[in-house]
Amino acid sequence: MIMDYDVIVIGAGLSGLIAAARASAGGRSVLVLARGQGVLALTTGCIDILGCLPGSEGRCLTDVAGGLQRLAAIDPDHPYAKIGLDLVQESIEFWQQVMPAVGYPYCGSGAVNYLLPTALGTVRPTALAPATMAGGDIRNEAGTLVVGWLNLLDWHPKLIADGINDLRNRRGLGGAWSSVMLDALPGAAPELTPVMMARFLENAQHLELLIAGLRKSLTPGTGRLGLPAVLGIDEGAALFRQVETRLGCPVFEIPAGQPTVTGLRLAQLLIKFLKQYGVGFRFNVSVLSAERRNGAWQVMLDLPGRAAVVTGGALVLATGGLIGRGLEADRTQIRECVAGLPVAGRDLPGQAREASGWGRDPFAMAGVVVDGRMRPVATDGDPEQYRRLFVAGSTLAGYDPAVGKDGLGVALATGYVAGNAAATEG
Amino acid sequence: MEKTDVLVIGGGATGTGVLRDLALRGVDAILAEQQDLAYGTSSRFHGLLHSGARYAVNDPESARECRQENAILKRIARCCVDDTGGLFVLLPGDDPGYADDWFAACLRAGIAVQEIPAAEALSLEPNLNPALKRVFRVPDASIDGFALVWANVGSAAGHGARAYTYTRVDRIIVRDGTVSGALVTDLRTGEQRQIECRFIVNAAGAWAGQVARLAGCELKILASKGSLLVFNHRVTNRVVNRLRRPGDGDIIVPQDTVAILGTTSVPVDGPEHLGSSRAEVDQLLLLGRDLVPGLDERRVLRSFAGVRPLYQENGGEGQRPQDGRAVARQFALVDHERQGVRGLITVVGGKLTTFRLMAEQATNLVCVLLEHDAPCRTAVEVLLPEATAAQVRQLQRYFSPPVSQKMAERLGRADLDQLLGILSRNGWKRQFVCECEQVCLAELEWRATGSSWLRLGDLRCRTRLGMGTCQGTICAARAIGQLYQDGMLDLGRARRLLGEFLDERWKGNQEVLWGDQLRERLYARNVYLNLHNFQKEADDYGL
Ligand SMILES: Cc1cc2nc3c(=O)[nH]c(=O)nc-3n(C[C@H](O)[C@H](O)[C@H](O)COP(=O)(O)OP(=O)(O)OC[C@H]3O[C@@H](n4cnc5c(N)ncnc54)[C@H](O)[C@@H]3O)c2cc1C
Ligand SMILES: Cc1cc2nc3c(=O)[nH]c(=O)nc-3n(C[C@H](O)[C@H](O)[C@H](O)COP(=O)(O)OP(=O)(O)OC[C@H]3O[C@@H](n4cnc5c(N)ncnc54)[C@H](O)[C@@H]3O)c2cc1C
Repeated sequence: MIMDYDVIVIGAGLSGLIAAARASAGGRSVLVLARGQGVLALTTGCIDILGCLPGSEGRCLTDVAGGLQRLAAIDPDHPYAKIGLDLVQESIEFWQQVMPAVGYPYCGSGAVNYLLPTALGTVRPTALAPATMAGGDIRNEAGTLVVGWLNLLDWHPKLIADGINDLRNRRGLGGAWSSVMLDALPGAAPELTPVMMARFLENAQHLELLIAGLRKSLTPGTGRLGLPAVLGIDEGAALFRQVETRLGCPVFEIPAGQPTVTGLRLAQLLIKFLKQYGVGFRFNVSVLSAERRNGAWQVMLDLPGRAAVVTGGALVLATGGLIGRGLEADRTQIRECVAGLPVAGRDLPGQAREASGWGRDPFAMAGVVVDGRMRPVATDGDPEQYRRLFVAGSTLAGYDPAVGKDGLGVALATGYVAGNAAATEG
Repeated sequence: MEKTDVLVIGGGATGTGVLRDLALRGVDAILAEQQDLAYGTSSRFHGLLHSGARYAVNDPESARECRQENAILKRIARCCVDDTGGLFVLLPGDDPGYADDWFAACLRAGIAVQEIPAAEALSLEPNLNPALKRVFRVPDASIDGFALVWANVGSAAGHGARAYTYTRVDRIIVRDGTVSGALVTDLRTGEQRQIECRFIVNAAGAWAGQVARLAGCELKILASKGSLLVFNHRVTNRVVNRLRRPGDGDIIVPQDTVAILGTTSVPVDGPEHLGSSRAEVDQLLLLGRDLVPGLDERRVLRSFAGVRPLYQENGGEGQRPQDGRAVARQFALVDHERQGVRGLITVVGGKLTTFRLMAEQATNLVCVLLEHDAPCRTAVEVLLPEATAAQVRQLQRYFSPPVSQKMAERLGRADLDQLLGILSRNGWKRQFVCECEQVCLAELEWRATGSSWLRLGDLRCRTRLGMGTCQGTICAARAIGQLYQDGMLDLGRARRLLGEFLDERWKGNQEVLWGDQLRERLYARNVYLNLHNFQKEADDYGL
């Protein structure tokens, strides 16, 4: 392993991957160090830019561009407000360019939201959806059949169809969704998670069986088919296209279970693409610490049986938040684990709280405070100690994706800015 | 109007125990519980089937009662008892003289106590404080309060008794100084109705004072709150008691896949709306780490609290006990005839371990008053007939042998028949809805159709769904989805149930938000709020 890179990225979640892509595009040698694959595989795989404004009590935002303007005005601590909306827009354009090259195109301009169905029969606003999902917008008038199989876990087609009809009715659209439950696919295990089913369907014969079964359930009124996201992992949207062409009927996926197929697919395809592009990856390593010494970043790794050091000219910290383990809380305080950066909301664990779980959560909002270039704002000590260190993604303070529906959007935009900065700032 | 001989108020261990005893003696009886069974202290407790050792020094009478009941329950209630055994551990700094007194007191109470070498104890329980001085084995065990209460009612129903949940007693009707019935409200429909009866047994635990007042009788009950912490794994495989004068944070009880540390003792005004404070949590962790070093670093799933009703025989002029533990833990049986109301008796206090004995004595009194001559059979008749070998073999068609074994032990013969019936019709219902606690779809279906329930939490109590490490993150959505798919819920109810369930979970871990449990909570929030965009209030999503 080479021990000296222009840019070291810690973390292989979406923010780390995007930062690595940008630094690499800027002509730098890049190494990504990561303990695991990050939260991406648990998500819908849709890039939420902004789905819900603070204080709007769960109302779905459809006008993303207008929403961003409003957000920047009322919430100056939000990462989008820090980097500025032009750069948010640039990062979206970057996504739209890079995904066709990855071979897994996304739909959406970024300016408006889709309203996509969830596995719980609710609706979710999102700006950028994989082609396999984008056809599911609930405002579409087509008669929609949601299909399930008895042996598939975490999938309840009737709940989805009835739930969406209920929402459509409230909007005066009329119910157009129905559901059907098919017998277990022959040859498959008696209980399958969506990921297991996706692996099963990567076999061509199994996919044939699936298509045959689906064909039988089509009726003249079926305008499109809603399937659980199970149409393969490694081959991107290829199985999806095959099913759609063979059936002659539009199809869309709805993510289900944990991890989700759409999340896992995106994570794996992006990593594969970046590897081909020359980005170095090292998984299953924990970074113990990072320190700036003699004009470079020294990153200490916890390798089995020994410790090792890699050095980099610039460092991108994309280690995630409390879920991704970039931040850790003990009974009295929250700390940032790698560089010991100051954390806003540090004292939360020791404080008395009244957090219901439903609104913006103080723990989710906690994190590292940065300036518009993703540089930590030093509260004490020597400003030099954070030179050429850039922070991206959910390590940052100031947003709660569970409420704002802006998680992967912030990861994209801040990863983009951090990666650019790491590649250029001398 | 519905008629019965005896109305039992309260669906905890005591009330359901009385219902079963009456039914086995051939007395017609109805039980009314304001919420779900085991809503009160019988689920908000530590889960320790006492050997009596804890009370040997302070309360030898209680100790003897516990010893006897412990042996009886291990025989008749194998479905609810995990016979883990228990240890008493003398730590450095605790009074060594007390250990000798305690040992002698245990022998006097007839408790099978045996000293074992410290090294042996540490090999049995490697997490214990390695500096421990002396260790004794006792026949403590772990008992599941939910399962016990349900088994009592199941057995009673088999003998003709009726039990109504979500049925609150609002008034006790007294005519010419004699009980003649009660006015009850069905909390699901809001409807009031009258139940006519000759006797009422008040087994309302910490609410017993309020219930007695419904008949105009005074009953002094002081309430003392105890908080407990649930760890995400079996910290120890045996019950572990700290060998010293009973105090706070000195017992760890393994319960299925988790372990519970407790308790505190804080005087409170009444039985409702209790949580544990951060100060109690901190105090418990501080004490618990004396027994198990590093316990305060381990993952706590949630905290909860229960209320001990402390009966004050001589009034006590409303004074609060300094320490709930100083007041005797023995139970009281009160015939309110001396207050001018014939046909009302109260049975209150004691311990879950002694519920059967309390029920026996209360039922004896009722039978005397009814002039009904029948012996008590609850000590000899098995509570829940055990699974047969044939049933276990049938289960193995769907599950691995260890899983089948565990299910068979938990469910008993009658429930297994139902479960196997569902599986033979729909083999795919072998799928686990809750992987942590191995609850399959067939069990969910049987519990949801075979009993009346209101909340998802009620099904959790009947099945253990969502009680393990993930605390419902995965299985709550699965359960709701399946119940909906099976036509047991409408959309509005499905959403309400899920919202309530999450509220309850999030309240439960409010005071233990650090480390892995904080991470789990944030993860669960994202699964429901983010991935599923589930909204409790704005369920039209502003569309
Ligand atoms: C269940 C769930 C569903 C969600 N759904 C959506 C959705 O549908 N759409 C959406 O836009 N957002 C969604 N979000 C939010 C979104 O997933 C996150 O905001 C985003 O993924 C965060 O990305 P990240 O790169 O900042 O961090 P993470 O993905 O958490 O990545 C952190 C990386 O750092 C590594 N790491 C951490 N510490 C170290 C260390 N010391 N040494 C080495 N490596 C380390 C980790 O292993 C990991 O690779 C969801 C979140 C959750 C939890
Ligand atoms: C913190 C704590 C830990 C404990 N640990 C242990 C232990 O480890 N081992 C042990 O043996 N004992 C233990 N105990 C004691 C034991 O839990 C109780 O003694 C026992 O559960 C009491 O059962 P009960 O049926 O009398 O009361 P409860 O279980 O409280 O039942 C009373 C019921 O009456 C109902 N009710 C009230 N008013 C009305 C009304 N108007 N109409 C209808 N219904 C009504 C309530 O809803 C309630 O369900 C513990 C107690 C506490 C507080």
